[in-house]
Amino acid sequence: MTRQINVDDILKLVEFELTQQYLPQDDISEAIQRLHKFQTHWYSEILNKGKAPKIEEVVHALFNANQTMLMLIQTISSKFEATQLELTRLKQFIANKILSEQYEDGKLDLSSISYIKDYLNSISFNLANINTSYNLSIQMQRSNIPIIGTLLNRIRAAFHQLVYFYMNRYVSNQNSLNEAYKKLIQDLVYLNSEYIKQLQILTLKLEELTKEIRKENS
Amino acid sequence: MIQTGMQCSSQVNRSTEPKFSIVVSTIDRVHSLINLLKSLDNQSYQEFEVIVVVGPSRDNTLDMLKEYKDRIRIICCPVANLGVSRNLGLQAAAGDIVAYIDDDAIPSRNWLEQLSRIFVTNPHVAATGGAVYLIHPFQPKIQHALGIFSISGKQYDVRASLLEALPLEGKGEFWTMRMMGTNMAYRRDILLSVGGFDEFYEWVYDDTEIALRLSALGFLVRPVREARVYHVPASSRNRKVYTFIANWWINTKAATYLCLSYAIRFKSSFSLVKNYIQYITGSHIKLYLNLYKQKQLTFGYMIKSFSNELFSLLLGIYQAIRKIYSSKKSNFTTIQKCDFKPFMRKDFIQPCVDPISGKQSNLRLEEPPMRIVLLSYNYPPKLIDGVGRSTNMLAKGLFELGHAVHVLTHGEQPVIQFYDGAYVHHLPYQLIRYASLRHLSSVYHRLNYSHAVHDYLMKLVLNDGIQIADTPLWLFDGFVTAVSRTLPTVVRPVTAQKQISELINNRNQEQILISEMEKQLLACASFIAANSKATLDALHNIYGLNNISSRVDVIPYGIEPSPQEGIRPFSHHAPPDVLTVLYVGRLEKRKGIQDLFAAIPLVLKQIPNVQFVITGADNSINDGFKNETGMDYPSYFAKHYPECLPHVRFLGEVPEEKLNALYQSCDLFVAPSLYESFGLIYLEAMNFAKPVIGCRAGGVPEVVNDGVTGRLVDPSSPRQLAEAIVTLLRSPRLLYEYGMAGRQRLLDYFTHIHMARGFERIYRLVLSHTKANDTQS
Repeated sequence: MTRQINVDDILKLVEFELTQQYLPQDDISEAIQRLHKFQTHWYSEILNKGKAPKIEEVVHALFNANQTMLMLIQTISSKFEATQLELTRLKQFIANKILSEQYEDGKLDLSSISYIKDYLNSISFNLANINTSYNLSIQMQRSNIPIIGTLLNRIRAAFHQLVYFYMNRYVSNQNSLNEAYKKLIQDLVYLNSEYIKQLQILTLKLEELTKEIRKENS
Repeated sequence: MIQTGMQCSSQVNRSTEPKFSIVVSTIDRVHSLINLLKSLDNQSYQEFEVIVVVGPSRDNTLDMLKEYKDRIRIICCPVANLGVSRNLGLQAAAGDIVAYIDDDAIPSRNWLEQLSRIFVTNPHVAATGGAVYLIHPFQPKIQHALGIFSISGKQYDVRASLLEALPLEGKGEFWTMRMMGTNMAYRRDILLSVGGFDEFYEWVYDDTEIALRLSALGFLVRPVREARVYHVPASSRNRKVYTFIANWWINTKAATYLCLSYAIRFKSSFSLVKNYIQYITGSHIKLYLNLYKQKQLTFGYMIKSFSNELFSLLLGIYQAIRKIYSSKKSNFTTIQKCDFKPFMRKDFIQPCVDPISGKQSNLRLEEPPMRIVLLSYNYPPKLIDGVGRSTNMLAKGLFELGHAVHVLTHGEQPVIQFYDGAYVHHLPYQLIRYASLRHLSSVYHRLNYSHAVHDYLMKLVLNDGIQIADTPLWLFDGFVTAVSRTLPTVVRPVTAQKQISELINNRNQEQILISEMEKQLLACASFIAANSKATLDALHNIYGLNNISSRVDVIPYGIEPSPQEGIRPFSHHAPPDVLTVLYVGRLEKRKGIQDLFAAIPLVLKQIPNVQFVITGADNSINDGFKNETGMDYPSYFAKHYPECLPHVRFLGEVPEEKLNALYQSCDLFVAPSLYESFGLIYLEAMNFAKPVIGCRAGGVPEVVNDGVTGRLVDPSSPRQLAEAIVTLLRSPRLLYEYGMAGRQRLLDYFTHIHMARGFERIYRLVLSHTKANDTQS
């Protein structure tokens, strides 16, 4: 027998959704979702059923995705700048509190940190497992027609090689770009985790200072 | 010498509280300009000055600005040219940041605070700007948010997402982000160093060009979605508002000049630029032709427009080529920094301003106006129900008391309108959350909507500094906000779902869950403001309110009294031949429609010259009547009372104007509801001096004074109802006296101002309590 949903379940769901929106709220997650949608779409267009796209469309779409990646990285980096500023402010805040010695309760709510940390770890793990290099190799169906079959195979192979030559040039460019993205994002992830560490150290320091001040006051 | 972005980045001002100079260019739009200046009084960020650059004005702009002469700087611009005007403002600016806003725009309360945050957070940002919402009576929209532009003229004013709006043909077009002229801000020193605005742009594209130029020089141009400005378009010399009649050739000239000069500079594809110029000129010519066909333009004006278009095109090309060979890099020679003249004054509190009409409260406020959000899924003029109507009246009342009111309601598009004293934010929602509740359709929809409301509320807090939210218990729009305790939330209970379930004997799992959620919302409310003692008693009985919260009060609903000349008391000296009895309300069990059906033949037996007018949507499906009988209410009446049919008219749901006309034209109002938490309909009838008949149930006795403003009968008692109708219809004197007494009772106790005053007291109480709690913690 299944249990009926009650208001406590609803409250838990609301809490869950509120935590989730920590990411989906902003432009970064929106862009990630769009990229994901885009990837799925083109994957099915190129490799699965769908209509056969023109090569120009594929190139444009890839260009589009690259632009979005750049935007994403730009946005993430600006958010880091903001975090950096917050850290500076926090340091100033602690310094001021030591001077004034009026501080009563300095505990900060950093409950979301563990969540961010897990998220960053998962990004890091995923990035490490992404294969950014890809090369196209000839996958040609051979003709078995007697006499002219060999000739047909040769002509077909020549055409395939021509197409793959140009495609591979493009793919190698894209590979190096992807490698750069990967490195950039990994750097950003590392940078952010460093910020989080700093923030945690500062919080601990703040708590210690608070305890000391309380002791002195009492 | 022009510096590059990298060179300047080492010199950026890192002040944590930069001073702003707001520059407003104006010509002949004094009405809008004064609205803007009044609204600037309520900016949360205090460190700013205002520079008004007045063009060759033909109205009384300079006279009207005398009132502000101690607070603003006024500069006269000899020509009607936006580039020149903006540069004059820039040269006079004493602040670190120069913010531009149009004279027909109203900034959100935290506009400067948000812009300041962007500049402070990232010292490398040279320019920024926020979203622009068009407040338009018929076509409101998001006019600009994170716009992008390419040098081949492609433009996206609203970038819906980072991916979708990015064009496919992006290569080599130098895509850059841009701001809209009505909401943009620059670091003063950087803008001066690049030579200010290009003065060739007399109306449009000045904002785009400066963003392109800054980006090309390596400066960071970073517009944002927040820092909102509400744009209320007014007519100008170049465009007649709400029409397509405009000097479009100025647009052609500017576009040609911009695209061509940058295409040459960046060695971009000429064919793309040529296509764009062809497109823009062609579309203007088509537009002139259409306007002529629609007789909006004369033949002579159309020919003049064609020639202007051609001349502008040639002028644009000539100027673009000339610019390439020009050595002039700056519009400024020597600039003397002026003294900063703060705009804010501490001795005066400005009530909120209606951005369209310029109306505001006449009261002299002793405390700063509050910023309040009222939630209501339905809201006039589109959809009206009791909750929507009462929310509308509350918004209007609060505005008349000087407060800034925002209403969040459901809509198909995310647009903003200004209606009856409040910014009405229409909010679409998607079913993207709470997937595990899909089998409970009503809860699933309501929670998803409530979550969308919560998200939007947080944006409003950021932009407009909202302090408090007010949600009806009905449909619990504010559930997520209240349970997350992110904002103080006042709950306005009406008839509880549990009560309705019991009345109509519907106790399924979903109804039980909704009742539990209502109880939870009440538990999380900062305050509960019931509309009647009856509602409060019912909540005590049903949800055990005593255990939930001690902070409850009764604030009766109120409505705006119609003007004295609009009321129609019963003409007792010359009674009409046919008497009209009006019923207003949904056709459902709870509203007592079956009792009225049963009473009609009894009345007609005694007084045959009576016409019954029944208006309201049929709700027989939802209240289970159709399941029981297989018929809707009008069909049921037609089948069971065929002899009365000529005396009864079913009008269905009617628009507000028609409803008012029905109230005016009736002689007696009847609504025998089995339960009403308050009974706004009785007030609406009393507003037009009509006697009313209701039941002794719920909050009705608190509204209808039995034997003074009307009659009360027992619920589910058609015989008593018929007797009361007959008694009143037979006495013209009573019809007149009860009607007039009802009108007086409304004026004494139940106006929207009475209601707003009550809620104002509660909001202040909640806010002081919240503040005290914050201080303690």
